[in-house]
Amino acid sequence: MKDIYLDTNVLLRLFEDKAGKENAEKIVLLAKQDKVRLAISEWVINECVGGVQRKRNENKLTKQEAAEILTGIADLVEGKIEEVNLTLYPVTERVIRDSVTTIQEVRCNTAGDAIHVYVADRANCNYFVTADKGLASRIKNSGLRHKLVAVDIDELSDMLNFFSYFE
Amino acid sequence: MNGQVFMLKNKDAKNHGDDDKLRPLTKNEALARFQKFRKDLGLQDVHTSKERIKTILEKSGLLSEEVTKIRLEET
Repeated sequence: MKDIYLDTNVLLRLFEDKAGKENAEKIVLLAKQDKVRLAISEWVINECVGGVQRKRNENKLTKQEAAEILTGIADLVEGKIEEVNLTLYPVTERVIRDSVTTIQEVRCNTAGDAIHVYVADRANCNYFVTADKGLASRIKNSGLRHKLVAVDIDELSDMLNFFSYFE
Repeated sequence: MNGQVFMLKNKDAKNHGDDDKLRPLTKNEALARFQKFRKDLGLQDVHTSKERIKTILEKSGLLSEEVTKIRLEET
């Protein structure tokens, strides 16, 4: 069975009404059918809190709204852990230390990107699904491309069809 | 002396492939992390719905095009 790593932006798409949500939900459905396994890292939590705090700083969210969003995200991830056995990888000292080289290998724009890619790689995931086209492209052009297939969430149809019929 | 011992330990670990694959949290550990997350951020008594979250996210601009920019804008 193949292992799929989900970037933070893919998880957040589960709240959307647009095309991205449809693909994100299809991945979750495949996991529910035991056709794939899903993985995320704890870094997702930090990124979500960071994103929400940024909106607070810009006065685009009230304190109550920020608390509700973070609760919603926690509910969502907890629900998926229970529902589809979503695997959570901890951000350990080793992840921080060793992902330094990933920054250069994959030419990551941020250290956070490298944490995601490093965890996906070292968790032996087969696919890295992201809504960040730039990151997907950089992984495809890196030395990791032979063992970690980067997939843009908007270009997921072929992969989803493959798993639906052949796995 | 201490350095030598440390190096031997590391070498030994590598030979056994101990530091290759990351270990995921067990389901209970993962759920415990979220319990701690809620406690640390004072969210224990916060309740919401998916529809309400969607409304707030759309209002704040945290979704849609901005979803992909979260990490970039953080730095």
